[in-house]
Amino acid sequence: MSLLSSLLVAGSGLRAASAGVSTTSHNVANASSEGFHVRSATVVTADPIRRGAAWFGQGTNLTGISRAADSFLARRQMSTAGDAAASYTLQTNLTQVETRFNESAADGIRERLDQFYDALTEATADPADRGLREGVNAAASRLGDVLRRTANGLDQQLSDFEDTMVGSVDAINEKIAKVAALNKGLQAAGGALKAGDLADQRDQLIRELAEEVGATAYFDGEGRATVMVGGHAVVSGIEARQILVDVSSGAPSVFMSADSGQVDLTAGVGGVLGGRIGAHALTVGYRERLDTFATDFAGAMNAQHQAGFDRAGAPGGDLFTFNAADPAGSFAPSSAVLASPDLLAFAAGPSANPGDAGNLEALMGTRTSGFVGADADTPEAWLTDLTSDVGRDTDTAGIAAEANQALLDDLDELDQNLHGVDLDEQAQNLITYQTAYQAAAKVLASTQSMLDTLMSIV
Amino acid sequence: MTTIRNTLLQATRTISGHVSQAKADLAVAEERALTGLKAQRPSDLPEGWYDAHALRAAIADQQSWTDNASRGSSILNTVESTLGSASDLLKVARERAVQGASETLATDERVTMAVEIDALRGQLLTLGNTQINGRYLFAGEAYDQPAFDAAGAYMGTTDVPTVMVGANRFIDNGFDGGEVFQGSVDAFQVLTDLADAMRADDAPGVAALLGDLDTALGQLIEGRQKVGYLTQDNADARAVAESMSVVFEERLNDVIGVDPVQAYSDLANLKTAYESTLQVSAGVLNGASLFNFLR
Repeated sequence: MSLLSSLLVAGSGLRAASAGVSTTSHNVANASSEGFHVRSATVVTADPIRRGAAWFGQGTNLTGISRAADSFLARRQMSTAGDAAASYTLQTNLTQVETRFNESAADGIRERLDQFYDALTEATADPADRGLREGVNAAASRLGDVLRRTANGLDQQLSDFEDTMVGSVDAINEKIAKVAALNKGLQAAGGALKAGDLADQRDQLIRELAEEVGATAYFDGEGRATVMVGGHAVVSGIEARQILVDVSSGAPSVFMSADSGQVDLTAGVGGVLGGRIGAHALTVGYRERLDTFATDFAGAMNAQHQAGFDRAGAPGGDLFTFNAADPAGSFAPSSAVLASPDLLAFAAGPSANPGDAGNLEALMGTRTSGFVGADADTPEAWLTDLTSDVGRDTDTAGIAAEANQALLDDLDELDQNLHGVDLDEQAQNLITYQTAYQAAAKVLASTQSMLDTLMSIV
Repeated sequence: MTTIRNTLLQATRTISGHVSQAKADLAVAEERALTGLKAQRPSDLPEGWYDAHALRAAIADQQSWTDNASRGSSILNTVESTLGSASDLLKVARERAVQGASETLATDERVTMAVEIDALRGQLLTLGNTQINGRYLFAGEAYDQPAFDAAGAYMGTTDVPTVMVGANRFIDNGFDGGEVFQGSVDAFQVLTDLADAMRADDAPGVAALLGDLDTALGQLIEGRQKVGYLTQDNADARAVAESMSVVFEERLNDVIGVDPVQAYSDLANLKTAYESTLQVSAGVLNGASLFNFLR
């Protein structure tokens, strides 16, 4: 082996150490970058050559920059991130819905219903008393106010959900398009450092899509990702498909544009969008239960009120009114009764005796009668079931969110343990590469000195 | 061998998670200490919300029944006092009847007594038409008009108004004046007849009315006894409502309230835990790294 060959071998060492320092530098720079996976310079011993009876080493070759990654773990992270985002969104959205019931201020529908019945109870003290009758009207008005306020609040909440869902689609489609573009870039880039960075960017985007729509991904042998939403590929290689949200029917639906038309993805959508669709569906159910209450309560009270007689001895009219198209949103005491409390039909007979409270007691009896909904619940039980269900749904979503987040934290920690940037490890690498570089440089210098010595002889 | 890496990103996430959790726990403890409640919304206590609703309703019911019992008490006290006065009037009338039945009494003295009896009858009629805020207490359900007309005819109803003072518990808060003043004997008519007999100087006729006077007086006494029972019932109902209100308040506090000592103790502990978390977090982020030793 010649001294010149030694120079080349030392040079390969310098290049390998230099690549190692460069990789370390890249790692340290990205130590806090989300989605970054640690890189390592892959160097292998160069093939030796034979000179006579001996094999002489040729130094080292840099074969590439590898990226630590685990596609199985990545898929689990994605699916768990989608679940966590869905349950967290469901919880936070239901918390907003829960506030619409105003239970924390003890000013909910149930409280107002109790106050209405208590006003009727107090009216037994003097059924003809104007003040007590106005008390009944005031309590009926407050019941109407809180029912309408809650119903309108839920309508507003549903509208907010729909606006947010529609508004999120552009960002989702932009990410879908970027993933396809990055797939294309990866296909072209090969295994250089750049390819790892593109893979990190793409995987981070897929993670975000998992959080936003519950996307999952499969990776082919060349590292290209196929991104699925609801069992359909929104990214296949370098092709991307747009999704859209349709809220026109009142039940939000998610579609994917396809060559044959639109594919309904609604049932399989997860993530934030899926959580919001779930919250929307539950809220629609709560709203319908309010309507059932308004319809059945007004129906029963009106029927009983019509069986009685007012202060003038005339048969009672409606006590509550509502618009059949929006019962809870329009529920209110009869304006005629509000204007004239004497029209409250507390008497059982037409005698116009002020102390006749026969129908007043019958109206009070509706409190313990079952007439609301298919199960014929009492009005109080119906409302308590409703608010308790809102609380239970919110609580359940919160528990699921905590569990999913804990699982996701574990998976992310595992990912960091396996693929993250450990600064101590990078410092060690830096020392190693620095020392190797210094040694190779020393070899280079020594070889050059030997060559100089040789040259001086000539 | 698999390398387990301790990364800056993971350390930051862990710290962030712990600090957020400590802060959230502290916020919950602060809310509990400030409000005295462990559940402010259904999701805080989904299963207990049924009890919370039922107990709040029960407390409101007790308050309504207490208010009604108070109103009823005012009426019953007035009725009792009125019937006491009516009894006194009839006792005076009976004393005059005993005097008027004496053969030794002069005619002009009987005529004078007749004038007095007329006055007593007028006063009894006024008592029969006693009212509170326009409500005639002896007119039954027709209490917006006088119970008796000037001739002493009953204008009210035999049905009486009731007030709700408990679950399915109603107490009369108005009376059938016809029964009280004109049961088996019409007290007004007896006094009219007595005055007429006095005016006619009819001593035996006056004596004959003593039995009716006793019966009329007995009716009033019986009425007072009934009012006494009702007053006791009303007081019992009010006491029950007030007592149950306290019981339900305590149960509601058990369901959604917190023990103040526990709440403040938890708050102090969590404050300390939060501060410790911040200190430890700062230590971790500023901790030793091999890079610190590289020159």
